[in-house]
Amino acid sequence: MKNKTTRHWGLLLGTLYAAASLHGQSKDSSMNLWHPGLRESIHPAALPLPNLRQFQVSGYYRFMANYRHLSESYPHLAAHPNNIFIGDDSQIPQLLLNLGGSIAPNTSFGTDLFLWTPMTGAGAAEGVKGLNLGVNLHGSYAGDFGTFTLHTGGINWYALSPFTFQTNRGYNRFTLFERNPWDPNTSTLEARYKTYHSAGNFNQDQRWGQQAFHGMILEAAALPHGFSGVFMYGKTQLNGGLSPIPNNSFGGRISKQYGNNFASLNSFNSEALLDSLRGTRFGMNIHTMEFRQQAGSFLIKGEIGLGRTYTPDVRGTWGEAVSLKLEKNLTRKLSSELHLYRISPRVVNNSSIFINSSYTEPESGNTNTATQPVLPAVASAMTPIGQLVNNRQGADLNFLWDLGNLKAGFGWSMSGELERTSNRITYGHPVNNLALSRMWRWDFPSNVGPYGNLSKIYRSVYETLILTEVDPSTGLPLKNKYFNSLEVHLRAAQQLGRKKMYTNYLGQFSSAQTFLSPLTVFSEQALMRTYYHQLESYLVLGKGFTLCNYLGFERNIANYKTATDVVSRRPKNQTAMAFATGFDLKLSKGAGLYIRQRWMKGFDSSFAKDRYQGFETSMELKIFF
Amino acid sequence: MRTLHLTLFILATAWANQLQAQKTVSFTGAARSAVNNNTFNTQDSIPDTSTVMRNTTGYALIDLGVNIRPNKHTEILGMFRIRNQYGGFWGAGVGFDVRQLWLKGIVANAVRYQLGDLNLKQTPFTLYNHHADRPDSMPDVFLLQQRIVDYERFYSRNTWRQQGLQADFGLSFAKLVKEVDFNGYLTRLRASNLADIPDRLMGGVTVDVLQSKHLALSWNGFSVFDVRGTAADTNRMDNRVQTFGLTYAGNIAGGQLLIKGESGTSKLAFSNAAGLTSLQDYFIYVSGKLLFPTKHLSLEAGYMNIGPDFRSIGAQSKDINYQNSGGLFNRYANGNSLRAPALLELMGNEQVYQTSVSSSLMPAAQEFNAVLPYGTATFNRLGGFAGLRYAHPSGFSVDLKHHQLREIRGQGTLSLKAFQQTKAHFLLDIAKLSGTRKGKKLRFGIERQSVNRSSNIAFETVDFNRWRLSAGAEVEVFKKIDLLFGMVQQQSKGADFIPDRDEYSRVSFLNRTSYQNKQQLLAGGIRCRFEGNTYFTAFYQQQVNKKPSEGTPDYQIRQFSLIYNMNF
Repeated sequence: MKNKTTRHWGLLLGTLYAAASLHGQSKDSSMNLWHPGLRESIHPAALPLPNLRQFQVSGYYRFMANYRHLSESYPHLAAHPNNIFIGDDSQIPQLLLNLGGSIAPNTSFGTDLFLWTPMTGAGAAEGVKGLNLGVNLHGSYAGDFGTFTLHTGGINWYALSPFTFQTNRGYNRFTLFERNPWDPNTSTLEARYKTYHSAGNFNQDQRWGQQAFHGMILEAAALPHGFSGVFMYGKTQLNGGLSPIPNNSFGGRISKQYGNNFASLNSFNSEALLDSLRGTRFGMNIHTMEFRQQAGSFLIKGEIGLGRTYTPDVRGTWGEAVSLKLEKNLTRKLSSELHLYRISPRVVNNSSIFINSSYTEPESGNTNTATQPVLPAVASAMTPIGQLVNNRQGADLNFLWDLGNLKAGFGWSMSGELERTSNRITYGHPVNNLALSRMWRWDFPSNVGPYGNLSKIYRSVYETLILTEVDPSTGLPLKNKYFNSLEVHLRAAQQLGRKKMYTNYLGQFSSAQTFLSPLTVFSEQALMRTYYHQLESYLVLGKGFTLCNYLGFERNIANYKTATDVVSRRPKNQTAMAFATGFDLKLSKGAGLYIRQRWMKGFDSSFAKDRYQGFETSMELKIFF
Repeated sequence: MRTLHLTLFILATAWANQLQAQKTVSFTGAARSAVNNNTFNTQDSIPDTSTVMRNTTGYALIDLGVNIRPNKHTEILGMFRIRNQYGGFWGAGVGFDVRQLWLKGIVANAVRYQLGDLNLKQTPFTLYNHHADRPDSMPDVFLLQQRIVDYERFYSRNTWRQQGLQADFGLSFAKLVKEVDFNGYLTRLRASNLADIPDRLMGGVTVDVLQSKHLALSWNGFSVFDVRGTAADTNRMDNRVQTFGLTYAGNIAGGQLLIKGESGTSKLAFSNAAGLTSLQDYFIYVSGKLLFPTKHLSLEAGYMNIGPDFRSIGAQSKDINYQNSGGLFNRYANGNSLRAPALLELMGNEQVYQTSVSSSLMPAAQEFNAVLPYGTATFNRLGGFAGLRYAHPSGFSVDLKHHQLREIRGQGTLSLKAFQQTKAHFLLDIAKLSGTRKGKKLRFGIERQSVNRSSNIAFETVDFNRWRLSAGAEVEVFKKIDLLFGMVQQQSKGADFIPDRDEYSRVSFLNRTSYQNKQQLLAGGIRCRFEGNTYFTAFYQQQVNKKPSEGTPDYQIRQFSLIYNMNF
């Protein structure tokens, strides 16, 4: 349509024609003229741009400050016993904006932006900004034979099956005192502790139990005959890195649902080139079958598969991975679960729920060193019940007794290594784990500490113990290692006058020894014994205020078949303790202030330099919008 | 700068969100995710032990445009690009850019203007992106890659991306002439370095006179010039083109006649070029088309005479820069051979394409277009062309076109080269032909180019031939799920003299170059069309290049790509 006006420009008309009128050019000329190009460029009103169907901005602000004073410290901190730190040495920024838009009901995109300032006084120059999860695109297609959904781009949190691509969910035996960066602000302050008491868990964010995946994930659902499927191609965190030299993962799942039960075939594979030329590559493959079957009062869940690793020099042989769980409610209030497992040392998958204790990957030079190095083998790990390790077979037995205001969980485990692959044992320090990890900011160094036997991982540290009874020619231990653990987890809710109080106790008693034992070995026959006691309480003083307290005690005792101190000539004999207090304060809807004060102490009566003592104060302000 | 972009983006997003409720702001843009797995193979007498033989590349990006209409006569678009490189975890490999920013509006309900980023074209001899080397009638598996290139480089119906100001208005008349339209633009090609490089501007004016529904005339002025006084007065360039155009549309017995013509002159001058005063020449281009709608037939014939010294920067800039390998396996044969863009790059590597015009004459690639490397604006061409198009509504169409040209001035000799170009393309829409609902299309194409020069001196003879075959199929196997296949094969054989040109586009040397090149690009894949303007495709393609140039070994590239693309 022509956009004519009635305004006459006399000056121009004089040069052209007396009866002309002025108009803006239109797109649809009456004939296809020679010069349509310029006309197409300017159409402010006639060419409206398509709109997004929906666009949303959400996110949170999280301010984290930490002050630490150590009257006794590890040598690397001796010169600066006091430390002020603004921020969280994790991948969680101060301000996170989630941006998302949808084009059609099932087609959308999303990205996030983070801003972070360490507040060191440098002003804008030190500001950090970027994407956290990156650019994510989603789309869905509904056809006659199924629905297909595509997730591509930045980081998608995803899970296939426990042995292929998932993180360990465990038995929720942990303490709540130290807040995780991803912990939400609950509707009421009490809800966090009340939910944990009643359900044994609390609201986790989307990453709970899932792995980060970067690339493309194609899901097929509602296929004929109850089938569904997934195909994924891209990078895990361990494949991360900007080099174009191939370092990728791919996998998938075909699942058949029947009633409340299912069976699935799963596969996950990773391959990286060691250099820019072909032929030198390493990787892993794992293929499994997972199932869930209700059989009368029994629920059987399991996964069975084969896996292998390969390097330029060695084409690894296949090994087995088996996990079977049998669940049964013994009474209305008492439930039980028996777990049997066996994972060959030849099965290595650092993107699965089990820890690699048998195999150290070659350095590809293409990993995401800014965030996480290649995962080394963690040697023979003493882990909480439910955390699986390869090169091991064993059994776990867990009970949950629900007595209303008291809920008691009991765990027993017994396991043994399949092959002698390491002369080391690793164990954790749960009482002061987070505080210890903050003694090494930003990086994830291995073999640090006063004796070079501490390794930092995400918000945690573990320690390595060297065994001395080894074959002098191979350096490997003379006998297999066996592991036992007992866990007691009590969650109580009490009424103190008009106030509600939640108290949790977590006790963990573990041992590693060279013989099979039905129970934790509490004697010096054990190569290593670890005893952990953690008691926490939350007193709800009002809708907007909760008083929090924590008491922890830890003992780690090794015997004389392990490395001894050159001075004392005695093996590890560590004690650690912590008392902490703090409060949660609700500032407004969606805004919370969380203060924690921890006094801590740790020492080894055999290794003189292994000592720390001090306190740590942390403040977290978190606002969701 | 990235901080500034980011801050602007957050502020704009927050503000736009608020205004969206008032319907004055909307969001527009695109998002794409791509992963390419590439493998390279080469056969050489000396084993290649240093070339990176495999790589994986990719990205995910969002172009988020905030479209603001503060009033009914004004519109503003600011578009940000957030790009996340494949492999970047937790914020690594992230880029923020401003992709577009423009303002457009109407003054006094009469004069339209646009300020900022512009997509411009004028006429094929003034400002026009000819895409001269792109194969015609491409199968969908290549076309979807071309569309990504077009989006990345802002190609839209033969436009070039510029930054500047454009305005237009028109006059309507009651008698003699129906309408006169004025259209002008001024953009900057280059900024001064405040030392020895002056600002370079590009401007153009078009006056269209629509006499009736049968006749239209136009005058076009185009100029690229260096602005005096913006740098030390060294060597200023000035390229001016003026053309007249004519379009006549009328009815003849049983059909319609459409005549188009353009003629004009050009001048390229440098204020201080040794031995060069200026290059001046003229051109004539006329085509006539007979359309028989009831017979679904159109016939075309034309004449062109483009002078050897005709220079038009806006019309003779190539979209492909053959000096850029595109970042994919740039060197091979132990680093001794540079890999030039091949069919694979032409189809889908935006890195070899350029966004704006080039002030100097860009080199052409003989194996891709030896006859009209600068499109219809190719200089030193004289001859005619004829074509036929038959498109039956039952689902069959054929396009035939032939160019018979020769040089006007010999290059290094008095003998003239003769050029021939023949193209034939066929389309079978089997869904239409068979009456089924699911789409099935088959495409075939054959093209031949030849360059010949006979001479009593054997060394002067030129005999170059290039054949190109293309075929493709798009088959909708399920609702909105298509299988895509495509093949392009071309063979270049013979010898020709390839000019080296100086910065003023004068020939400085002629290299006799022999060709025995065979290229083949095979592709196959699947495409799923999602809701909205969104699709996902997975395809595999293989480029084989035998004897890419004298002394360079054969190679093969295999590429597997996953692309998810959405426009909104």
